[in-house]
Amino acid sequence: MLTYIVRRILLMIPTLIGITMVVFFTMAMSPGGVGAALAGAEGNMRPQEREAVRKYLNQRYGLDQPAILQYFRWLNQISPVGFHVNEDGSYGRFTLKWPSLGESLMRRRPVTSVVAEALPITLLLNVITIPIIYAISITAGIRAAQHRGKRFDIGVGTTMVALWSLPVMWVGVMAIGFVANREYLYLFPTGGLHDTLATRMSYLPGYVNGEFRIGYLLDLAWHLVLPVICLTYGGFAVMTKLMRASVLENITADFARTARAKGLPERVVIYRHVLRNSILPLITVAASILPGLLGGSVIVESIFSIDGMGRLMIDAINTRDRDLILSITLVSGLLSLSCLIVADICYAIADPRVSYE
Amino acid sequence: MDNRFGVKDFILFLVLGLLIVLIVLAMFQYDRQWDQIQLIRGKLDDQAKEMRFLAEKLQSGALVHAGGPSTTQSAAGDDPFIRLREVEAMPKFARGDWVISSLAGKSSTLTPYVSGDAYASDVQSLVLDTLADRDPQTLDWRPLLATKWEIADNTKAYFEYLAANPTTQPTPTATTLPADPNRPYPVVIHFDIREGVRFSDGEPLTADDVVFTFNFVMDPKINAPRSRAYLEKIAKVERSGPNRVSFYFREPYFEAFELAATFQVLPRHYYGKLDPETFNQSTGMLIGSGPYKLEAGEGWTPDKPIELIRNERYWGVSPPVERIVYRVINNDVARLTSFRNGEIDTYASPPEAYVKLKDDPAMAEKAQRFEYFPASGGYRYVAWNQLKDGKPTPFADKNVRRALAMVIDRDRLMKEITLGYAQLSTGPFSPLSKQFDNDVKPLPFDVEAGRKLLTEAGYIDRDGDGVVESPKGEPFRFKLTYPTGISNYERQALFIKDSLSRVGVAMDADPLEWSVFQQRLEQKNFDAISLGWTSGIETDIYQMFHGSQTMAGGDNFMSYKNAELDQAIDKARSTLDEESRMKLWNRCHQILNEDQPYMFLWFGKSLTFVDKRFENVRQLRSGLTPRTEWYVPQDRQRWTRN
Repeated sequence: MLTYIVRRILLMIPTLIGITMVVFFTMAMSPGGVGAALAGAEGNMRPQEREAVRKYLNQRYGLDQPAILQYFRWLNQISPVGFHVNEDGSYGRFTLKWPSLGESLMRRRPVTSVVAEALPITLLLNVITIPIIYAISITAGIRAAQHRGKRFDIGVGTTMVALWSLPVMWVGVMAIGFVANREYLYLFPTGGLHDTLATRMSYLPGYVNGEFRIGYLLDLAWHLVLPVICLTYGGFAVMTKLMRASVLENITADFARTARAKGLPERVVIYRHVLRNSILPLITVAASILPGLLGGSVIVESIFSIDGMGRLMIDAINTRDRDLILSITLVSGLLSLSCLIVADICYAIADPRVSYE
Repeated sequence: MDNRFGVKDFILFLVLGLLIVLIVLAMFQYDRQWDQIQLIRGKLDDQAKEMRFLAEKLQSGALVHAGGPSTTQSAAGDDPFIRLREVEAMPKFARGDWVISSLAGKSSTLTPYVSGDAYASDVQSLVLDTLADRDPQTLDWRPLLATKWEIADNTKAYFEYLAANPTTQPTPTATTLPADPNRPYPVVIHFDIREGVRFSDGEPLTADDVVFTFNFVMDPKINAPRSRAYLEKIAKVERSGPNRVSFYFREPYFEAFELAATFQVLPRHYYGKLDPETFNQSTGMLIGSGPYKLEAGEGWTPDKPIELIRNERYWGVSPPVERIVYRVINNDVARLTSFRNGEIDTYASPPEAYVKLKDDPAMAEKAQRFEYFPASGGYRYVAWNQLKDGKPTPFADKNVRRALAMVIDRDRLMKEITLGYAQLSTGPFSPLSKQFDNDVKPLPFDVEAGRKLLTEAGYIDRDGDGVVESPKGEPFRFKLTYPTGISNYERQALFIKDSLSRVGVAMDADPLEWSVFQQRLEQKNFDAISLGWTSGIETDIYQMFHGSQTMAGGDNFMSYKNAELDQAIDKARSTLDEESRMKLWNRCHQILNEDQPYMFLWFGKSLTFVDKRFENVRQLRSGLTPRTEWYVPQDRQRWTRN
């Protein structure tokens, strides 16, 4: 088992090099290359400035060197062992060093700090969204399976598919136009994560002089309602159908019949015996979507002016912000591969028949 | 059976989970408090410093005159705050309240000279001071950090020296001349720095700070290539008296004064101790002597809101609005809804929405609206490539270019796309600018005359297929390249295609993604392209139209050459006297309209809504009154209650 894990981990290195190489060279070979978008992407650029910016970038990041050389420079930069880079950009001796994800070309700041601003926001949205999707789909799926073919099953199925077919873009814009508009339903704010006055709020809600103060935390929750609705409603259909199918498979299985024959109440049969066996496919799905969460949701983030990973990635791609794209790729690649290993290990633990010896 | 995960375990886990969540929340709360405490500590330090300053002043027996800095004025006309004093005298004038502006995107850094986006430069203009600025109404220069200036024009001596030493003649590819200690500086500008100006942290601003800022920005380790592209024209900045700085220019340059005057001054005591890398990677190192300062101070990071508060130590007349807040709203629907909800105070509308909104009663009740040409507005054009793969294209013939422009109903095109909120342009100069020659009339829309010109140029439909052919028999077919993503380029291309087909010229639309588009421009690998340039109160057209700029990477990507225009541009750029320079620019305008290297399309208007509670929002020559002159009467103030 241990040798297997070590082998898998060592195999990750060439895989990651492969992934980043594809991304790097696609970018380097795309028409315009890396520097081109930068020259005009910041808007308001006067013709005089273009040349100067290009020269500076070439000198600072070596964008005019052959792509293969640039790639090795980048590898050296992210690797914990490699050549030490001197102040003037020349290479020193081969040592252990601190790996660095580099600097965003567009934002002129270290990639780590740029990602550190966006990642918590995306994680916050996901931490709220995923449990909601799972809770609703699991309960709905079980009930639909229990009442197979009846009104509840058909009703839930139709509603979920209907929700699934509503485009997020449309729902988001409609929500802003009606639910967040003072002329209609002004129930929720239009966008962002905090109120204009949020920095002056107390943290928790409370009464001050008999007047209710919403507080920073509740204000955040209030701003999250519409984005979370937009992120969740489309996810129900797939999960519910998956759950329903899986429960149906087990509800008539031998062990369920035995349990019923034992005289156990139906509730116990379903929630103790059937559910346990049916939830496995959902866990498999969870393992595969975890790395995807890092990507965030571009559409929802754009509509509600939330600066998460989705927008960061799209921005980076549009401006060909090389180091930022590579870093996000590297991190999500690393996460995907790790999740696969963990899943494989989990199979072995869960099922004694699986062995990697 | 005993090892089952029971209800008790579940409750235990739930309690544990809750505990963890509570601890995390508590950590966040302390973190927030920490920020607040830092802010308070900063303010306390600041106040202690102010007290010390006052105490010293009192001890040294200096009289603190109520008039303050105005004592240094030499004449009433030099008062940069005449406009603000007029505002203060208005009947309902009151200080207080906030302006909440919206930004379409997040600024990744506010550090001056490093940041590149327009959002950051808006913030910086309120925090940093310049030596002089333009009066928004008269567009004349008025003194700010400088009390007066002197421009020494040695252009004549400079050119005489160049004529005597012909080896140092400038070449088209080298932007600067080789160093030569004997060569006189063609332009030297001396500024007298105002006394008694202090930065927002209480330290005085002196001539040394101006010199420092120049040397700091010119350090190649500083990530400011954009600013250096302009400042390169200055050979050195020196302190030439106790309160006097002199800017020495390498070459005679008409924008010399503007370059020196709009140079934002940084405090030496603060930036001088930073090493370049810290400065390059910082996000909120923004300290100046302007009317506002960043509330979060140097601790600002892009995930925090941008809030500017009044600089209590401002040396001049403090602007009425107490706080300027920026909110990032990415999409237009949300921006409009936020404006309707009163969450933001200004809303710049696209023409399609504006037509509906201007008759909307709810908007009329809550907002005042303005249609104006912004000072930094731009123009749309179609550029005809005259040289492709080393061979002249049909567009190399001036009559063909004129014919195409006459065949297209530019007025109708402008009205369809901008819904009339624009002005047909005849050249690269803004209609607000003195460079603009009012006698230049756009080419008429006349299909027959256009057809005649084409026929004279030899383009006749010889084989009857509906497409005209050149004398050599090649059909006149070309691609119009434009960037994707902006819908009205698409419509514009269709309109042009339609118009041209009437005289037998076949055009294909060729939309390209921005980076590919850029590459094509660089390689001059296109037939015709459509794009826009930003213009200004006085614009340099050297880069786009001068014959020397047809080299690789230059912005004369259509390989347009006209000796007379080149001469006029060169002459205008080295003429410091405004009146004679404007005559030369007017001549350039005439030549460009005559030659049609671009088909000039239009100058767009800004369509802006401003919340009704603001007074003194008016239309001036340079656009709207600056936010520093807006005020809210006491009874309408929304964010500050007294």
